[in-house]
Amino acid sequence: MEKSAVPPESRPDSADIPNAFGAMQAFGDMWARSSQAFFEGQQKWLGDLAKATLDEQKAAFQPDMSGFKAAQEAYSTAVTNAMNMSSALMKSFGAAQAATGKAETSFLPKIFDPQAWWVSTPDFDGSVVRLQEGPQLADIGQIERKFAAVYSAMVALRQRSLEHQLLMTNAWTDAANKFMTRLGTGRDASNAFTGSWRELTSRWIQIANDELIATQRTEAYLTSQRNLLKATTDLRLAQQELAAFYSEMFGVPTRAEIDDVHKTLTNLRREVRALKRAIRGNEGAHG
Amino acid sequence: MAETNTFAIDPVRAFAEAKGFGERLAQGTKLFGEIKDEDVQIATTPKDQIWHQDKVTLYHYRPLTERKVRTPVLIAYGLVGRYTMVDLQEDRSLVRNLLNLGVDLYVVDWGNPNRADRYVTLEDYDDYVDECVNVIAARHGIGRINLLGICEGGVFTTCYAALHPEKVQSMVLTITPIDFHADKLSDRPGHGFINVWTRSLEAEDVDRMIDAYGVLPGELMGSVFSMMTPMRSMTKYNLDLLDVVDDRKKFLNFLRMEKWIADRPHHPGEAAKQWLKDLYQENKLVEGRFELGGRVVDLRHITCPVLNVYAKDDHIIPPATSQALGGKVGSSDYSELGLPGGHVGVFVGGKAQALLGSGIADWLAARD
Repeated sequence: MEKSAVPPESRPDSADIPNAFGAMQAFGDMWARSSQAFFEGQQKWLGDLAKATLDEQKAAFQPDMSGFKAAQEAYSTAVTNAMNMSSALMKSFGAAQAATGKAETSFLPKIFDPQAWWVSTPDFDGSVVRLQEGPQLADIGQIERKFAAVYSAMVALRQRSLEHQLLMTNAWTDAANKFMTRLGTGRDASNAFTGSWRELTSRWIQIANDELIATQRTEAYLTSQRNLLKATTDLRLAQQELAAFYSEMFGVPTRAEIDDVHKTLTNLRREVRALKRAIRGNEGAHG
Repeated sequence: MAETNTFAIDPVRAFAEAKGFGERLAQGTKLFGEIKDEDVQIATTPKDQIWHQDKVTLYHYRPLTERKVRTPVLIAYGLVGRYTMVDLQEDRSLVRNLLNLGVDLYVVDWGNPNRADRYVTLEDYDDYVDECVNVIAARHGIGRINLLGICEGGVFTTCYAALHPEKVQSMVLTITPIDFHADKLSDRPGHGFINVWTRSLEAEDVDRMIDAYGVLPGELMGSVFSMMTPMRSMTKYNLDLLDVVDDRKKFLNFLRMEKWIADRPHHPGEAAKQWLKDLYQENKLVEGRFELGGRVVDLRHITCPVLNVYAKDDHIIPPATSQALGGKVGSSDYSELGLPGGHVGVFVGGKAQALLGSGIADWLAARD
């Protein structure tokens, strides 16, 4: 048997009876390591981008990173707390999985995987991913401001994403807490859960669903959603302004010019419909 | 009291589940290999295109039986999703049910709006409905037709009936919001999230979003719908799929629903601003302040018979937001029909199949 990564006080009392409280560490360790790598990657990426775009203008255009750093730290704390919660549960499912020959429990790690929780949060703007691959900078002359606006918008979006992820992580942690309570642990041992894996899964789904829906109604969630939408929109508009600059430079129609054409076309269509109605009306009047 | 941990999995049941799971997986793997995308067809009831303008197309369904309701019916869906849901498959089709009950049926397809439709407004859609009504009326040599509005399409038909009462024989509304703030009357968790979410935004948030995207993106509304059923969205492609993957019929039903869900047209920009700000945020329709083309949409000008169908478990359009129409219309012939099911379930669910089609057809026939 492999040496357990679970602390002694958290190890199952018996290999046959899963210990819901004491067995989440191993999976949580993996999650914590990947989270750390994610944060370090973001910091490095932001640093590299700042250097590339604002090297000579750093003092003038450096955005305020304090909010972003605060969001990072808060999220890191929440990740640690959630890791402590989920690691024990994952260990117990792993033990039971071995006992039943990996039945339909094979997917359970996925729905208890905090990384899967992140995936379930909608990503409003896929263009942010494209931006991470980096714009090709040809001139840094008169367009520093436009690039700085894009950079600031990207930082703001990252901050708002982290804030939202923090909120959702707390919601998932609360759901996991309630789930373990309802399994009949601690003082509620007389109502301990006994049943099938499917029933256990259904119970988790119900509890998590109720918690997430309740979270959606909170002021904090709605504010976070609004901030995230606003940050996504601001980034997209900053990108469009930058794109318009280069479009003009190379003689390519800009977004605003195309919108003008579409507006004219829509108005013309309205006029044509109105004229057709007028003609029909006249034809009707004259029999 | 010392903490004890006593949750346990019943090993006998676990073994039975494991065995069943393995059998389902084997059958599912076979089905996945056999079924192609072309096998998954929706909206297959035969119809003919009879008119087209800009991106709007009007279709006439071919009759399946002798006509029993003389006045033709125009189905108007909204701009979120597509009308194909009401003809999802042969045994779950409001369209087929109505055709089999002798209703003469037309449907308008709004096409695929994109950024080029940035400046299309709800007034334009009122114009399009008017054009469809004129075409149908001319084909039949009549002055009035019946309208059947669904969700946002029901708002279109409601506005049309208020602005052009002389052209509407009778109107059926299904899952149609009228009072966009009436979600506050319900304390059912998870119901009315779209109402809550849009009210949490400022008007300028909506304006900037439309400025940035040109449309209300279909993907955004898809995300909002997914948010409303968070765990179901997460388990759809594992647990839910496991339940159907061993049965070809159930699996195809699942895939057809997926095909409809994946079809997420964009909502034209200016029309989306009106939808989100004038209706969802400011609730102008039920308050008599909503204007189209400079004319106030006065619900009291709806003088035709109205049947208002709502889904009792609708979490997207809470029943109270639909029922708010009662007492607001100018017609004395107003009735409601509450059916089991949710927003989509009332159309495609097994329980509602017999109830919805016959409920509408009988009501129309009595007023024909």
